[in-house]
Amino acid sequence: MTSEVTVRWLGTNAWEVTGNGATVLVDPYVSRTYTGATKTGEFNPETKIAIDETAVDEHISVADSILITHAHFDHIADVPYVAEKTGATVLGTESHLNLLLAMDTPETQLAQVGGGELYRFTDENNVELYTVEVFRSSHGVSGKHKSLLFPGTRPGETPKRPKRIKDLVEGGSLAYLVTFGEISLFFNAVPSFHEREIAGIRPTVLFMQGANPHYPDYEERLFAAIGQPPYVIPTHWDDFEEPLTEPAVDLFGGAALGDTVSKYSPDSQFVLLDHLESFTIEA
Amino acid sequence: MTEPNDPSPPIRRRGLLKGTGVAALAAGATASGIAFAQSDDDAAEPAVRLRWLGTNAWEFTTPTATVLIDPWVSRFPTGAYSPEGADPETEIEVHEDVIDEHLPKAETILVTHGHWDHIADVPYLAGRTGATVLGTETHLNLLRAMDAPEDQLSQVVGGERYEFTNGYTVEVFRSSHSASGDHKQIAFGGTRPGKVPERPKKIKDLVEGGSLTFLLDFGGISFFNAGSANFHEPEIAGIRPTAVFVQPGGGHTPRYVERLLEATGFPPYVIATHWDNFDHPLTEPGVIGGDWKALRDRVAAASPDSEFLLIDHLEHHDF
Repeated sequence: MTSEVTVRWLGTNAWEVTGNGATVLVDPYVSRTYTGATKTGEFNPETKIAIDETAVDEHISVADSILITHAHFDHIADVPYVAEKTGATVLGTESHLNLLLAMDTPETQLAQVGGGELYRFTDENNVELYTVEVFRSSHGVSGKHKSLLFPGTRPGETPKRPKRIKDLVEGGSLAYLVTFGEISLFFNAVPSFHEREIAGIRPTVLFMQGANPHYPDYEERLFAAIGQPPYVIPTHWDDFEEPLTEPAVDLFGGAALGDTVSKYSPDSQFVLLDHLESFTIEA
Repeated sequence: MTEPNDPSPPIRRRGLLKGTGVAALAAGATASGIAFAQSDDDAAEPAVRLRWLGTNAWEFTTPTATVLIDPWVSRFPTGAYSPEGADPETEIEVHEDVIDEHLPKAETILVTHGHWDHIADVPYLAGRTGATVLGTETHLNLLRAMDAPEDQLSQVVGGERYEFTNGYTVEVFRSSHSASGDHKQIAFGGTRPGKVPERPKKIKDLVEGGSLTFLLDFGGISFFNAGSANFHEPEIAGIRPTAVFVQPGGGHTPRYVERLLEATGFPPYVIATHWDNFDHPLTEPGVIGGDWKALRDRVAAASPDSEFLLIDHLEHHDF
């Protein structure tokens, strides 16, 4: 199988993974519409959803699969355009796919998952290029009452077209293990991960977010569940109201995760990638 | 809710405990190795006080926190324990005076499912106490439709593990409601995702809405509670709670009691819950609705080292 896989950071939790000539995108969002989300007291749930097609075209060219972890604007808003442009298969929950349908995403490309699936992706000769395993997860919470931003699902009928960012409800959360031969990458290691769902997986690369005070012993439990992966890459740590084409502004402690990793997983190599930088993993 | 039509547990058998009281029960119980509430209380400083409010309503208190599971004390009559079973058209009543009498405070409220005997009092309680309420999207939508304060509602799906600053954690597990009848049906099944539904008026409007179980951990003293006689074995495998709540029923679930005790590592304590006929008052000793004696015997056989606690209405036990 493959001998190398390259990951490139597109800001937020947006990642491009290439290997075996195939491209997998996780939460591809590069429009970076200003919402005030990263400024205290300025967040505007009524902000209109806008796709910056120029930015998408600049940074994203091809994709075979698009993996959605949840439906908030900073994860899903660009997917309708990216899916149409690339013809990629889109994996998400019933709610995620319903929201995408309401934003005119091509229906035949949508693959509904619930967590628990393990899928093979192959070339035209049925040679396996990569696999994707899906895990149930939960979105992180905040505040005194462990509140979830824009909670809710949109099962059943396709809802009205989402116009404002608050219309993009979370819709359930998923985590993914993407495997290219010997190299596997685990996306959506968030403090709200489901310990029992992912126990025993042994990814080569862990994409990880910082701690959240609502979750006990996050790092300890995470590394107990998945072992000490060779590589740990922080994700979603940048101020996503700042430009993708400039160095990331570390708003959520991306750099500080290095200390956490050396404490809980001393054998892991901590890889801090800046905006649009790449890293190649060799088997 | 319990299962009026479940043939396996003798749910309709009425054994009045009134007049005999705990002392009489304790005497008969000694030989069976059962500890009753407070009968062996030699602990100096209780870390967690557990109090029963009937049905699956439990209050956990520490010097700094109060956690409630399925707090329902209004107990309006529905006929749930009559041969006909509960009347689905029974109108929901919330007895605020009764709630105020028995439930002075709460910091966190855990909802296991949406049936009336679990959730109906939660909107009022949440409003009065300011407590955080954990439940599924459906549970929270039903609560919204009953005017529960929106900003206190915390949506979970099972799989979450939360830290609360007053010295405890809550882990949430996906589960299912116990089934009843010939076709393994869930009473008032269904979900109400998406939009907030119309205000529930009758008990049938409070649909099950998915079921959750909870592991509540006060720094080493931990409790596992399910709202009905069911659980998902792979979900909870490996948990080691101090005490497990078990209820009569679960006739459709093979070896319910035995598998539950094995999955939880044969816990030091097993506490009977949801065994009372809730058409009878909370201020009198619990009237048997589901046979706790048969349950006690199953527990003793499956996990002989576990202590079986029968805590009567409004009694407590210190851990």
